[in-house]
Amino acid sequence: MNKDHEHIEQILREQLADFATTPPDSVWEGIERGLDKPVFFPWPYRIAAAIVAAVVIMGTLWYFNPGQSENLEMVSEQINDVNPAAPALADEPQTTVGQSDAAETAVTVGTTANESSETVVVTELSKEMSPKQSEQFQTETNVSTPSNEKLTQTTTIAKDNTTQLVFQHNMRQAFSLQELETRPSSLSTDFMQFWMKQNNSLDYRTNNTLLPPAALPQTESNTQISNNTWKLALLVSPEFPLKQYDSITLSTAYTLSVEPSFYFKKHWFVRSGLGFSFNKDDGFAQLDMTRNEMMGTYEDVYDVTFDTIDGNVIPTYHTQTTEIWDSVRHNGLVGVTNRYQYLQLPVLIGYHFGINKFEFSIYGGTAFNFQIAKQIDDVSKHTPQATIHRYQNTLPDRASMHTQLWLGAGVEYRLGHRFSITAEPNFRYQLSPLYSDSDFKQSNHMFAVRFGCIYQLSNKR
Amino acid sequence: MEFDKSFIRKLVKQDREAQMTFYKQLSPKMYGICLRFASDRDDANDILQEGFIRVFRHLKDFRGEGSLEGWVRRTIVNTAINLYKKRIKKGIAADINTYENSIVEKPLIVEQLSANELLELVKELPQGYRTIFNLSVIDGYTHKEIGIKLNISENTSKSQLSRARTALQKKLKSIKDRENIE
Repeated sequence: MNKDHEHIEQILREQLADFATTPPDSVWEGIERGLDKPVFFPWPYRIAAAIVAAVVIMGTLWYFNPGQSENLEMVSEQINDVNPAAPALADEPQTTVGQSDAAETAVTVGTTANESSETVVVTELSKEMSPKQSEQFQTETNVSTPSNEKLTQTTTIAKDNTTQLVFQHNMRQAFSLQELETRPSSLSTDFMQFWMKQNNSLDYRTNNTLLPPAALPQTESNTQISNNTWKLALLVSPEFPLKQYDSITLSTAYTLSVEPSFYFKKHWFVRSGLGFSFNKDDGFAQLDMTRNEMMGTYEDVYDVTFDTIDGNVIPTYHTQTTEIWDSVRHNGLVGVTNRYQYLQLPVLIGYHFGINKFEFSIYGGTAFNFQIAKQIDDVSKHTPQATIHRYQNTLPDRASMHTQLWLGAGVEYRLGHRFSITAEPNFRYQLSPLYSDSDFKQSNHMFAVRFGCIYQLSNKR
Repeated sequence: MEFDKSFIRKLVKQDREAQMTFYKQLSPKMYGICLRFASDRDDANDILQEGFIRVFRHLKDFRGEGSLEGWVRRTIVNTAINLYKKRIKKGIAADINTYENSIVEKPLIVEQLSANELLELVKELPQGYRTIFNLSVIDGYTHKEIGIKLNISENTSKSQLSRARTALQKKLKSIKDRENIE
């Protein structure tokens, strides 16, 4: 029997192991359809992937953007603060402004009008270049340079007929630090390589190898928003009233605002914008009305029938439930809520400084609030069946316009090159009454916390 | 059948032309495998289609151990087994215990049958028998390997194979009897 099995199986194996036959065309069409279908992962994996992606993106932004403007700003600052110890040089005619044939962009030190800054910086650099260094530079870069004495008096470092070396002061506008690293040709490549080698570093961020360290005066903070910067803030702020009136409950107001800011003179900024504020007052209204109300019910007999059971007459009362209604007069207080919407226009000026990725600011100014809509609670809408004899909403009407004095502080945390989040607690003092009613003209004040995000727009000179 | 590395790279990149070429070269043999495992042509088509989709999607996982054709073959067989398992779960798979042992005379007819006829013989087996028979006799898997693939014990695999053989012999006998009558 076993041999029979083996025999059969051997034949089957021989015949069927490599048996081949052409499949129908529909199979390939089905394969194509299957391959074209997107592959979906189960939703837990998708959520996990989204979370991981978000963490990776945020971590990457944080890692690669730790205060890009640090060294750029230090550069510009130091240029301005360099001891102008070479007045004679400033008198020399300068021809270093403008594009060179070799360099991609024109770079000028300080502002284009400030030729002395340009001269001074170059002088400082050249002072740091000892004769040995200049000789070494010449040897390594094969760029002809004057003698050391001439170096101190000239305005260029790497001098040849086609290349002039200058620095752009407001580098944030021209390019970011990362761009600097990737576009070395915008500066003299020879010079950059020479300094990098001298300073034994390729990391501008940590070692500031754009300029020799000795030439750089120390500053307290090394993160600054550069001058002439625009920022746009999107803020949400709850406003908490710190004082209540006897007959009014001021609810928390909420404002959504868009506020551009302009940064200038290194530490100062002005901010304005538009906000939409939603306010609510709770109070009481006197109401004298008559209204039909159901007093109760009773069983009304509409028919009586009599049955004789065992010689006794038994009455049966047929009833129906009847409601009793009567007009009732009410005279008292009802709760009401008045709602107001304001257009808010702040005009603020502030001072800021930064430490690492944090920007701290204090500001003050005036905010103008213009009433654009209001909803005064109408009790009659709640009581359509009533006859209103007298209704008086005791809540005072809010003023069509009121002004506040704002004093606040802010903390801004930079998440990336242009994007940051902020929290700004501020104190708001009413400069004009909140209510038009003379009985409610006493001053009031509020506390608000503004949360939001800020986007930095491009610089302008 | 061997494929050069540049062609395999194209397949990994999901180049449709390369995929079609690959399919045309291997599909006849793979279809033969599917026909052995499937109850009917529709099932065989499904196994082949699903198998090749898996081949193209997971080709990047092929580590170069052994031939690519062998890897594709194993993928197709696994696809067939998965279909069988799904059928078991749904209760559609044929019962594998319905055949009784019987004494069968020595068959002399098997050598006379063509490959297609033998294929039909195998296809007529109940699905469970057919799967184990194919894996063991035709594809050369050990009972241990079959047990792992089908989540059954080694002894179960052996007993099912024995029953498959018996069933096959019974069919061969019936063919022989028919011919004798004719």
